[in-house]
Amino acid sequence: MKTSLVVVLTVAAILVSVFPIAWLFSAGLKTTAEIVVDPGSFLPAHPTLGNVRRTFANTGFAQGLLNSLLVAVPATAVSVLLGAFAGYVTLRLRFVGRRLIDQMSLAAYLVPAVVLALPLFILFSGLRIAGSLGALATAHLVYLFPLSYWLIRARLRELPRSLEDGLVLDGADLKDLLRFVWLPSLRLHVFSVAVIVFTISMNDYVLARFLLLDGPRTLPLVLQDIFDLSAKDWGLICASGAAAVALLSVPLLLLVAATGQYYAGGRRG
Amino acid sequence: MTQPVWLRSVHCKSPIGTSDDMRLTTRLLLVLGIAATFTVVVAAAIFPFGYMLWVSLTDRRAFSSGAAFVGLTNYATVVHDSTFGRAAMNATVYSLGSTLGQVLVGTSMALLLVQWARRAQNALRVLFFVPYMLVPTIVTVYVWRFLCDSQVGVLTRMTGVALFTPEWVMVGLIIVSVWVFAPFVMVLVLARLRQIPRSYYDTVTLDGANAWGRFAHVTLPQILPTLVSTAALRLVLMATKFDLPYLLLGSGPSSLRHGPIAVYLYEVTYERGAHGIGCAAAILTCMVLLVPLWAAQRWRVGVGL
Repeated sequence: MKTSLVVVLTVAAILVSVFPIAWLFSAGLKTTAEIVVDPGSFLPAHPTLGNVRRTFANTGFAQGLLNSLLVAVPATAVSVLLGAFAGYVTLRLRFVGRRLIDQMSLAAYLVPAVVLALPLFILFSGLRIAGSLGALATAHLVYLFPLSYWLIRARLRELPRSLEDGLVLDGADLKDLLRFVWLPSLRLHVFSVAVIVFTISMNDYVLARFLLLDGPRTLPLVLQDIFDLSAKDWGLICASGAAAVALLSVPLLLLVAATGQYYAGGRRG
Repeated sequence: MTQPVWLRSVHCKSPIGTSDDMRLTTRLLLVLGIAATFTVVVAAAIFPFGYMLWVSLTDRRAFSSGAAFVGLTNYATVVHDSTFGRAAMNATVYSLGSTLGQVLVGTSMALLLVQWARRAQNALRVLFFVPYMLVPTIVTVYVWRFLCDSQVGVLTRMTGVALFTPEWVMVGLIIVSVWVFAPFVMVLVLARLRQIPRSYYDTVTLDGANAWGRFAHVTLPQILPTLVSTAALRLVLMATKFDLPYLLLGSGPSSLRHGPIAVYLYEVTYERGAHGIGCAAAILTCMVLLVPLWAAQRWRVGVGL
């Protein structure tokens, strides 16, 4: 049963969801002069890549991207590896404080970025390491771990324990388990968790704003500079924004292509 | 080979080996990993509150070493600060308004999606997800400021209203927040909608219920707990939002007048360098937010994933 009302509403919802971003991409292909003279037309009259060139040549965009990667890659790697380890260990082993890890990471998931950033900033400035990429990467690790842990653990729980026990009875050691059980059954899931966590880290504005001060700038801070300092150079603003959206969606699109699924949680909160 | 007691604390009946025959290196690795996990979890869950609590009881400031214990003075300062009162008021309006909007819009999107067959549903969900998933906050803000610019903004020309001018700024802030976060609600509600057995609908249809009757007697009661818990979660997350309000309001008087709590925290801690006062305000905020969190816990909220 598909009434025309459902179709109309769906089309409207798609338009509202996609329209601002579509406009961003099209405006990025216009010159600022064209945007100012004829702001109402959607398609660029004379599409140009001049703004994209200016984004990479005249702004800190490339450096910001590099800085973001320097933070996101280690933070993602450590939080996912540690998340997988902790997820496995709390499910399969008995040790003091096992439940505590569970409960604390659930609580930690709900800690807002600001509430984490404030004490970390005060601590880091006391230690004289505020304003460095290393400090930011540490903060991201702490911020992202609970999410990695819960996402990986949810999948690990579905993995039957008898599978491992059976192999061990047959004389398998850790390496065999890794090769025949864990890697094949968790590879895709761990990859998708890594993509989600990586994207959150690349997009993070709050922790970067609080912890980097006047130090190196990550991509979101560079984008803010471009907006604030370019004096309404809309062509440049839209092109840099569109470039950021395009670059940051690459891992997510890879994920969708690899798994055919679309995951919630591309952003925390 | 006897192993030290602290290593023996890891009891193990797993493929890695039983407690007795576990190799020393394996056990050492396990203990190290568990210690690392504990460090990170404590840093994420306990440290923020513990450290803030401690700083909030001192007169710590930026660029000064040493801090003296001042008891609850900072809390008194915060409570009597009219800027804090206004920030709390703004945060209340902002979080209630945007949560209501997100729940209404997100639920509508989910109800719309379940009308479609599974394949179309999955494809449409991707499109509905663009604002939440693909766009970094900073770009969201500048797209909307571009669309609502007083000179070149398309939305301004279409509606005649320039959002983000002082009188409209709270409305604009709520609209943008709903645009970003409605898909979050949509996912949770959609997951719940898919679990409702078809037979429930068949039963009320046999009793002569029309579309509204099916919604009122089956759908709504079924999704109500999800709606309440999701709303509580969203309320807490929106009440402490920093990036959207801070970036949309811009710096200057407008940000102080309309900024919610998180912007106040930033101003006090960074612009004024008053770490103790900032921490006291943050602690007070967290205590208030425990109420909806407790409610969410009662309604057994998932953590949003």
